[in-house]
Amino acid sequence: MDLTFSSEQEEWRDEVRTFLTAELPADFDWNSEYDEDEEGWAFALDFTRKVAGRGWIGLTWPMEYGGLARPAIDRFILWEELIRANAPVVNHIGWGLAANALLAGGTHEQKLRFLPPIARMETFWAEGLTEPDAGSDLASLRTSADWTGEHWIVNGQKTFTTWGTHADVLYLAARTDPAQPKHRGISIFCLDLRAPGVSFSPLHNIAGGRQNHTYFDDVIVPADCLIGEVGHGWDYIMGSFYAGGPMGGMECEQENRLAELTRWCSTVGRYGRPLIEDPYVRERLAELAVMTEISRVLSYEGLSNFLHRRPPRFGGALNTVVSKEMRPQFSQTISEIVGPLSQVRGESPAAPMTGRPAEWFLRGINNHAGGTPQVKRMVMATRGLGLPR
Amino acid sequence: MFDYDLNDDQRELGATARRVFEQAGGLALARELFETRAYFSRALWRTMIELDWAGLAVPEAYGGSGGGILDLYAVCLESGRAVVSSPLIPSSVVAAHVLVGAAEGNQRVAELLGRLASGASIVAPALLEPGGVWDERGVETRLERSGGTAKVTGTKVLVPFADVADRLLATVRDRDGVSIVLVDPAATGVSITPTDNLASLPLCAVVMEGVEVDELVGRAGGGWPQLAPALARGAVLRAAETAGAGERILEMTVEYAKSRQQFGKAVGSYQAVQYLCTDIGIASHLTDLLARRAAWLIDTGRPHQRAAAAAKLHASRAAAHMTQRAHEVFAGLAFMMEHDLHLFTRHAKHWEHDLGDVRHHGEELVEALQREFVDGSQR
Ligand SMILES: Cc1cc2nc3c(=O)[nH]c(=O)nc-3n(C[C@H](O)[C@H](O)[C@H](O)COP(=O)(O)OP(=O)(O)OC[C@H]3O[C@@H](n4cnc5c(N)ncnc54)[C@H](O)[C@@H]3O)c2cc1C
Repeated sequence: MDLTFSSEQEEWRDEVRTFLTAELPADFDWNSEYDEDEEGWAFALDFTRKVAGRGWIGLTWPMEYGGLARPAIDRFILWEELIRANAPVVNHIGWGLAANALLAGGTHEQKLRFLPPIARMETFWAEGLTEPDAGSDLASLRTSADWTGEHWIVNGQKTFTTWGTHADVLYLAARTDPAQPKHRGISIFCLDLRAPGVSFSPLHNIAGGRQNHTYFDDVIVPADCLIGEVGHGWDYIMGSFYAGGPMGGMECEQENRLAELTRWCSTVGRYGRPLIEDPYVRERLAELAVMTEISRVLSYEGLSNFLHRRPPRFGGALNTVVSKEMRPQFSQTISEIVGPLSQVRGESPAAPMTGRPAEWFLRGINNHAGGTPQVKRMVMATRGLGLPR
Repeated sequence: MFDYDLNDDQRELGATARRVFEQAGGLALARELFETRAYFSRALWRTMIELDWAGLAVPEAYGGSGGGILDLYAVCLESGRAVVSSPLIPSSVVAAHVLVGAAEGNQRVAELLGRLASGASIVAPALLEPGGVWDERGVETRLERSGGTAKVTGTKVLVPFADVADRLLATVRDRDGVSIVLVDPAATGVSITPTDNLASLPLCAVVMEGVEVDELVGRAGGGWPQLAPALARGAVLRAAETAGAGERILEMTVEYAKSRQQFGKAVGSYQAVQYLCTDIGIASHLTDLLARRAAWLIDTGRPHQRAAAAAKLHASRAAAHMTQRAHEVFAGLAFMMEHDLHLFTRHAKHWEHDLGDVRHHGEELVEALQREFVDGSQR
């Protein structure tokens, strides 16, 4: 057992930190949820282009596809630092889901065509999986892609499309063969969101961001925009969620909040002493600290499994179950520590920590994106424990 | 005869309240108020006044209808159900109860109480301070008395309806301890700023700098004993609102779990979802039982500190728990503004922390235990 990073890896970490210190203002604060924040978005896009300029978007991809062919552990470190700095990197779907699917199933031509622009941050991607009637049961999706002999024609509707109106390309799952059993008739496409027949309607979310309904009305998709093989979409979807290797993250976000909260608790008084000396507060802070440690060890375990090609326990579901269940609990505990003023938002002088506890609370409610905790529990029980379905 | 249910009159009052809140717009009104940041509906408050609810718990001698907490309970179950924002609990219950205790022989207080009961005035309790502590120790606002004048300096936060109130009922401290004063919000030295909050409720920061006030409401240094029973009444009714909201959340969630199909079945047929739904039912029903008993103890003049503190502590937890459970069932759908659940979630955050949060009522409970089992007295 060895939980240290090598000196080269620590140097890499320093390089990332130096970059971030240079590029991010000291008082930097941005929330990617705020889709309508034009200035914030302009800065985020610009910043992400700078990350791309370093070649770090495709850090682990093969050189010929715009990558730097670096080991997965470097990407883990990169992400730890980006999240630690609350860096406004965007296009997660592009360099995450879409790139993973392309790397796994795309043809050489497709990789050459789609990956370098992602690495250079020239194309912005959205994810078109969920439909109004196909949430947890994604395989029941009905958006259709019909082959005319020349190209595909897509019809249907997706929902909860994050960053839809910012994106150029949609990572789309559509049904190419209605005659096949439901998991087998699905294929993955790169759909040009500027194509005629695509439209959106907004879904404003409660944390201040925006998702969309995305509609397809006879949208033409060229033959070479189908990724991999026809009818293999389900395997790519399942395979590509985690295929890119683990990324540090949750623990850094929690660590940041814990740090901010602990500092706040030592400056604010209650019962004639700093909050931090209040046994109740101490007990709750300890709970948050344990949650943060749990995220850290899960994150390290994931990295280790990936590096050593060890199959994770419990079908790999434990990590998602724990982190999804922890999410609302973490922000609720913060709210209980902060007390009544945790409901105050924004720049109001009464707002503790400039209103962040209220923001965290709202964002903490979302633990469903990418699959609900209940379904992940079911996966853990069946795939992980071998319990009957 | 032994009976845990509200009586016929109270149930009828509840039915009226349900109708009134629905006719006023129900959740659509709550949504409109939230989206336009209108804070509360004056029209609905006028209707409530016409129904004599502003003075429901004020003795007839002062212009009220002499009702009890259980009467208000019936109304509050419904105001929670429809997420109504109104001065009912802060003004007609908390402030009113303090004023009632001080009205005898005090013409000015009696008059104010009369205006409060008739709905002509709102009196806003200004209790909480930036430390966020609901008990006596949290009062740091200073009272300075010299000669015939008394001046108040300090900051109050999350004061409900301060910007529309006729008077603020504020806790202040001097060497005698905590006392209660009435502050004219228009007086020199008072500044009132609405505070942006999760539910867009009319909660204000009130800064007072050397504000002149009339004589004390009640005894110098006797403020806390005057206030504590008023707070208990308010807290029990907040718990009632939480229980009422819980019933509605339960209905919404169960209905959705029955109709939403995934994997060819209603999601409510999955045990994971059944646990979530039953969690909401348990939290909501227990909140109702706890709060209803506390209200009965109050109305019948029995010791109620333990019951009231336990009821609000449970309600505070339930407020957070029930909404969180419901979000799990609705998943992506209720993370979106177009669904009504977030209205409950936002208000629940306020109810959770209003008139005593989990922390506060935990302390209250243990202090009550000490009084009962260590000091040997029930009061
Ligand atoms: C903020 C946000 C952003 C999102 N962004 C995107 C995006 O960019 N692109 C995209 O395609 N999608 C996106 N999603 C959609 C997300 O992936 C879905 O919300 C998620 O898959 C759950 O689907 P659902 O909301 O339809 O819930 P449902 O599947 O309808 O679930 C309802 C309830 O039933 C339970 N349930 C369902 N099946 C079972 C079962 N078999 N056993 C036990 N319980 C079950 C669930 O746990 C839940 O409690 C986003 C969602 C959110 C909230």
